[in-house]
Amino acid sequence: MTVLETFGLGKRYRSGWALSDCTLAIPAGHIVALVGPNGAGKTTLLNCAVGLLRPSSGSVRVLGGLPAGSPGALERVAYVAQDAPLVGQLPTQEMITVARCLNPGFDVQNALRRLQSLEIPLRTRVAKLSGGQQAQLALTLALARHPELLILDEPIARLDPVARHDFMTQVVTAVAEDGLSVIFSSHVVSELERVADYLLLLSRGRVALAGPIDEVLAEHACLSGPADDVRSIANGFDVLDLAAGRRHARVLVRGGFASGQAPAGWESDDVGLEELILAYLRRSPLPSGAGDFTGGASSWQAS
Amino acid sequence: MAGVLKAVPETARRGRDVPWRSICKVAVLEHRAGLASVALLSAACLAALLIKGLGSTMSLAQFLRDGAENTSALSVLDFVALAFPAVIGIFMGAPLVSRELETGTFRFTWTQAVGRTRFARISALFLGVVSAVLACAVGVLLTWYAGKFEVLGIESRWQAGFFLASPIVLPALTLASLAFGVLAGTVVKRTVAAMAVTTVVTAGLLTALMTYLVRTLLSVSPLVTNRISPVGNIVGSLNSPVPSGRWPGGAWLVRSWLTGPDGRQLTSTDAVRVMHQITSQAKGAPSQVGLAHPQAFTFWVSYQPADRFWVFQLLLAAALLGLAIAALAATMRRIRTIG
Repeated sequence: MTVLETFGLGKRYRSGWALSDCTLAIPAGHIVALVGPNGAGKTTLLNCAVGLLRPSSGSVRVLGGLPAGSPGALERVAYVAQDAPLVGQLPTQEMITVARCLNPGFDVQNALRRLQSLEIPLRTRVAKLSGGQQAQLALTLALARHPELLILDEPIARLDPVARHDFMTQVVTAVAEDGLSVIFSSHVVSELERVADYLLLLSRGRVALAGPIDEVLAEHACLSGPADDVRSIANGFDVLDLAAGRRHARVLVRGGFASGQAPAGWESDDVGLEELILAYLRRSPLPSGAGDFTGGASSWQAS
Repeated sequence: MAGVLKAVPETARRGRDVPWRSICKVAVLEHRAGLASVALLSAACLAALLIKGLGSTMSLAQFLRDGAENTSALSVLDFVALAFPAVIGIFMGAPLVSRELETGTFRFTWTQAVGRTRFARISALFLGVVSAVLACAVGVLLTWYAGKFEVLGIESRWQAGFFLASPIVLPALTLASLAFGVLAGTVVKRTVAAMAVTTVVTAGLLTALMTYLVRTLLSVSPLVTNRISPVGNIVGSLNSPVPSGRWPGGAWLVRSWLTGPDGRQLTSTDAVRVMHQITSQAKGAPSQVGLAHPQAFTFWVSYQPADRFWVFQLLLAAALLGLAIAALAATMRRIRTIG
């Protein structure tokens, strides 16, 4: 089963297209890292997935074909929006009541247990809680619905490292306990790298890269070799990034190499997720065929 | 990839509907400040009406003694009653959706299992029922209090102010104002701006009703007769004073006019001149006009009989409810398409 499918998805605002011809299919059972620069369309994609936004073109379906935002989908998809917008004037306990009233299967005991373990006061107004506590509360309310798909839109952006770690631990624990799928948007690649096993990379409103992280990393390699010979690499491979000095060059290419199979005179190394993501984000402009995962031709030019 | 996107029938997957009681509970939690304020206002209004009403054993003698004080209190209470719908629209209707949109909490509430339209619809209906019940209570007490003046022929339930503050029209007016407020909030998406728009719209509606619409409604298909003597004011007045046998009690005078010997209607200037002339001749007894000049002039009136009062009440209430339903439908359509 796929947890999120889009076909030709586009969303246009007055300022232009935030998403364009976006086609993807994310299988169930993954923690998906959704990354991309500001304005790449991450929030727009997630808002379309939970029915907050209506696509300008194409379609979005969740959990095996349910229309995004439909009653059936809303019951099984939980969403924690950016900045965790909760009703600030309500005490935490009443916020739980609100969530319980709006969701038939809401697990109050689960929520109370989590909040107790996080030492979040129940009688304090939500607006008075710290940013970390608000994010944890929003996550708790989402998890107590026992969703099949949890969508998180940059929930850790304003958290300190400890709160960030605690938050991610909660997510991973919930995945282990409930077996839910998670789509997680964030700029904090190091945290995503720690927990995610599937990568979805957006750039300029299109899908630049998608797939299980192991496979994605295996499809890429870092080649180190003589700077004089860099043109031969450029002509033979899809170059994503290049760092060249007078004598030595390091090139990130699409296409994995088994040990010892790198071009003559070059050494092949594994690529880190952060390095790979940065390389894709630096590519500009994105090739037109990137929307269907092809990655397209390299825009590299020998310098 | 297109082949992968097989839609699952939504009805087959649809989960249990969230009970309306639960949604009402959320509405209470989210809007309790507004609800408490309105409840306090209503309680104050009801208490004032009750105290004034119970303390007043109205008799003509008492009225003649301190009538001005009584009628001014009645006018104030009538004004407060008519402000009630505006208060509901401004402080309960306008923030209902706009606050969610403005603060961003719609990203929480609209993504819960309940769904955005059901949540907004039940919340609005719940606030509507509460407001309508309170408005009805205010209307009942005000009508009861005003009735003490009506039996003396001092005031009339047909007058625009009291006609609008009845237990039937006031709840309908309140629901219309609430629905306008919710719609304004959904369109404007800013709480203060929505409150301002609601103020203007509700005030405009009330002004139109007070100055034109009620009068126009009450002039529909009146009965016409020339068997009634000219008593009280001639044009557009109420049923006072009510001489026995001369005037149908509890009726509403729509219009009166004079026709000359040729059967044509006199202009208002001519009518005033003739009336003055007749009054002078009759030495201050205008009711003798028909007897003094039975062949020369005929006095006509068009009026609504008393038994039509509730028909007109229901007509106006139905029209206002229609407006409320239309506004609510537009709101739901708007909420469905936001995004």
